[in-house]
Amino acid sequence: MLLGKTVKELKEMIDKKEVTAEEVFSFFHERIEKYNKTLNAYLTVQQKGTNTAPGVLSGIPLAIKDNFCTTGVRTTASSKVLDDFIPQYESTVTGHLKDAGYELLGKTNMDAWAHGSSTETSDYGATKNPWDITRSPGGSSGGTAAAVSAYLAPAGLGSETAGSIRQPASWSGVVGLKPTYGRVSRYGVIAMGSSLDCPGPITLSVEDAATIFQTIAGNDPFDATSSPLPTEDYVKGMKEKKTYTIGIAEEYFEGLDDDVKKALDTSIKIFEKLGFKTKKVSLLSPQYSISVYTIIQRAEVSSNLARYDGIRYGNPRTHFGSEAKRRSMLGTYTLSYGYYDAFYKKAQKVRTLIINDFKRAFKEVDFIIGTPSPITAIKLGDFEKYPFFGELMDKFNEPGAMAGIPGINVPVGLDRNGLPIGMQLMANYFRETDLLNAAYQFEQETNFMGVIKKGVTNLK
Amino acid sequence: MSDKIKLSKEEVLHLAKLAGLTLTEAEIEKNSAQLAETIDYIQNLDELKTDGVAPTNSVVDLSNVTFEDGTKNTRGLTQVEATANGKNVKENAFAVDRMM
Amino acid sequence: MKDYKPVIGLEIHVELKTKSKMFCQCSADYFGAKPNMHVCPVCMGMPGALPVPNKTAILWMQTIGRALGCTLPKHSKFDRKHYSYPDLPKGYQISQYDEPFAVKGKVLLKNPYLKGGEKEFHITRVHMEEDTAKLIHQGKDSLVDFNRSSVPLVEIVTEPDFTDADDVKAFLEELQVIVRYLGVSDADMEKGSMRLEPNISVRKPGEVGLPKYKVEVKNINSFRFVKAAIEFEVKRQIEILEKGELPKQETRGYDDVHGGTYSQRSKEEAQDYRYFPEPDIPPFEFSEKYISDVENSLPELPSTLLTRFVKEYGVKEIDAYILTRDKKTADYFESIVLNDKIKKAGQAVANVIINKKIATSLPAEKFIEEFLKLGKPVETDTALLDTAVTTVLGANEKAVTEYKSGKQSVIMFLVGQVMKQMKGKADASVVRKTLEEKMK
Repeated sequence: MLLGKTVKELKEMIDKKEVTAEEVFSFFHERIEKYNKTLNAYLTVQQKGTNTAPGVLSGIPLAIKDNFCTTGVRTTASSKVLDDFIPQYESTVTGHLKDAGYELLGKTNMDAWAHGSSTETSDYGATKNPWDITRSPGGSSGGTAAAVSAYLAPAGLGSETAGSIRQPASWSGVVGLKPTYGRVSRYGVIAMGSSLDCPGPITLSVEDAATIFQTIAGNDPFDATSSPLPTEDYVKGMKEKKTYTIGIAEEYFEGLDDDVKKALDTSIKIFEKLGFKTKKVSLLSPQYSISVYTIIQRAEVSSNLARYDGIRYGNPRTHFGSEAKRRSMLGTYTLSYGYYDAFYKKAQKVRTLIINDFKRAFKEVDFIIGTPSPITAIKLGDFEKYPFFGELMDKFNEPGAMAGIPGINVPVGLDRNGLPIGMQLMANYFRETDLLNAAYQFEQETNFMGVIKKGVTNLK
Repeated sequence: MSDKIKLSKEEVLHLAKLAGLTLTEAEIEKNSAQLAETIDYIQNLDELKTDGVAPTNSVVDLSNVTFEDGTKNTRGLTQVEATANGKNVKENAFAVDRMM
Repeated sequence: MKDYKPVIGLEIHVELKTKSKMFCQCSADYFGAKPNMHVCPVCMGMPGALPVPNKTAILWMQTIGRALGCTLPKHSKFDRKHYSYPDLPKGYQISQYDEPFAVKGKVLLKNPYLKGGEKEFHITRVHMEEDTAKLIHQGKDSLVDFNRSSVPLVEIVTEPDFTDADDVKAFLEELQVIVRYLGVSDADMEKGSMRLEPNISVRKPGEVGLPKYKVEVKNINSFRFVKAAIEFEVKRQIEILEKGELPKQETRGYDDVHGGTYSQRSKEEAQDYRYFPEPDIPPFEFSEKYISDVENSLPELPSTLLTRFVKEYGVKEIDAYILTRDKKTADYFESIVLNDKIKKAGQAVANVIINKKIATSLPAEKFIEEFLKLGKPVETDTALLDTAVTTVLGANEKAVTEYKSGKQSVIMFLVGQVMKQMKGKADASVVRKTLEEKMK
């Protein structure tokens, strides 16, 4: 009766008293008990709901990535350094969810410290892709993506530095929204790349993404980088019938798997059918963004990991895994005396070029179309072969992340191996309503080629 | 910049010390190779001209974000909360090996 | 010490007495608080916690910068400075690197006690940062208390303009007075709200430019030790230079028990702070109006007041110097002198205030009344006084004993008793003198 219901549908059922909040919680709890051994999507599971606040999410249990600090609930960022860390404070974002009445279902697995694109760098073992458990669900928000895809949660929170929402959403066949940097507070979210990090929803429908985004977006006096611009009514705004101009940049179609390429071509035709215009644009090669991203993110990582000394909380630094060490080492190198100008400062200058490049493009088009990942889910173990494979694989997400613009992933079909393919739209700063609008129209037209519907039945 | 970067063991150890990490022999070797490979790659930025380009330190279009002195503190922790996660707490303070 | 010339630059830290800390709303008043009571996720460097700067702290820092003659740049930002120590919860300190809030200033030292009179010293920069936690060393442990963590800290860096310890001490005293005038800090060295780290080297006879090394001295936590520490260090370095060697570039600590300095960290272990712009805090842009408002908010500074007191009220420079050591006294003095009844009798008022003949705690009107009475000195009958003193001393043996054991304040009580006996017909200062003589 409940399998595959969206947040919106569950809420309606609860409101109509067709089901109680307790029953909804138990339903997911039982599924987690049954399938988490297979997926390893959750690290910490809550036994029952405790939130009585009335709101748009009351009675809705959600999966929360384990880098959001939750008062009284273990928060590890999937690192043994924080193996027994119990925050005495709440992230602003989960605080907003609490105020809206949500129930914490559990904390989900991720790449340790969000360092990775496969969830394999987790110190608690890799999460499996529900579409093929020999494969990665993507990452770093792989736990939430897998949990939502396999319906071990109706929706959840992920966070992105560059691709960590969109890429696992793509590989796991669900919707993932990466908002504008600063639209959603970072307070209480364990920092990876401070100038890049951004929380966002992973859901089964565009409307659910809009609802959760609406709940978590807004200015936070505790995050100096959060935007004071007013939020919009995203759910209402997304349903106004509009047509847009989609930009097609060759640079974002290079090196794509054939099936991915075909699915994107089909998607463009669907948008045209919906009355959208398309226009060719040219953008800076994502190749440079890989370098800019690698330099800036690792520099910030080396700095953000400096606080973990095991004195006030957590375990000593000897508990860091190899990926955290690898990133800290490079970050330390690029910031160290004599190298700063050549690397960090240079990267920040190229970052300006990337921003200007997008600003120019968005004068001509509303969106840039592409994919969060040139390939579909890869076999577990394949990531370890390269020192910065994650950064290479996320090359289509890095330019947008460096600029801080929003993007959304939606499923657009399955490849020859039956694995989900993701399509993404990127938009100018604070144009989330438009992104959701286009994605919603696409969903109405295609029902995402049945991908999500099939996904929730993968485990049974 | 030079074509092929090579990092000596001493350099790797120096970086590890700055980063507050202890590396095993195997990790030193692995990091030295991987660091060099990554550094080689990221040097492709030299292909882009950035003369006169201002660096972007923050993508948000904000400045002068502050709080008013004396604003009510809503995040204060009690002594118990503050020390709840400490592994070696003595007299409500965090004990470390004597520093002097 | 023939032709050796010490070259000394200063780094001075001043802790601001804002209500809140630098980057969170915790109380900045940590003095005497129980450990880890004024803390939150931000100042404890907990995962995901983010800093937001305290507006008043920045304004106060800029005020100090302006008072030291600095330019306030229109653009500024915070940076992260990385090093590892248990008192630094984030593994970095939020500080300022290449774009501080104040740059290039100078301080004109007008101090009649100074050899050679007026001197000018140059300020390189003044920047804003946060204090570290406090370490309490106890047995085999060091205990970390985060109450002080992230309290606003201002760092003042001078050019290497100083050539002897007396100048350094005079400069520090002036700085303390200025900061107290501004009302932004207690600037108390004993309490740690003002700290000095001199960089010391010695130029050899005939050497031009800066020496090839410098030694930073830490842990000078009292005015008393400033001179001793610098003089010890200069002597130590000259001895090394005399041997034809070069002193090591290093950081040394001052040991107040043994009165010397000891090596803490050498150049080989010198820190690489890996500064980069703090991504959690957007940059700062200051309008011309903001900057001129800071300028206009400055009170008249002690050196200006000193000059004015000499010029306008004919006060001796040395007395004007004493009167201007704290703002309250200086303001009080001026309010009296400007009263019509006083007719700008500046030096006379100065004498009365400096010699504490009339308490400056009195309301101005009362002070003036007393002052005018002073104009007609009270004749004291010495024979009557002798009798009165003998009587009072005889009747107050306890007070006399207390006085003799060092409790000097008792004298005021005795003076009061004698005055009573004399029915007020005596000069209190003469009474006091007589009492003191008798109790020797």
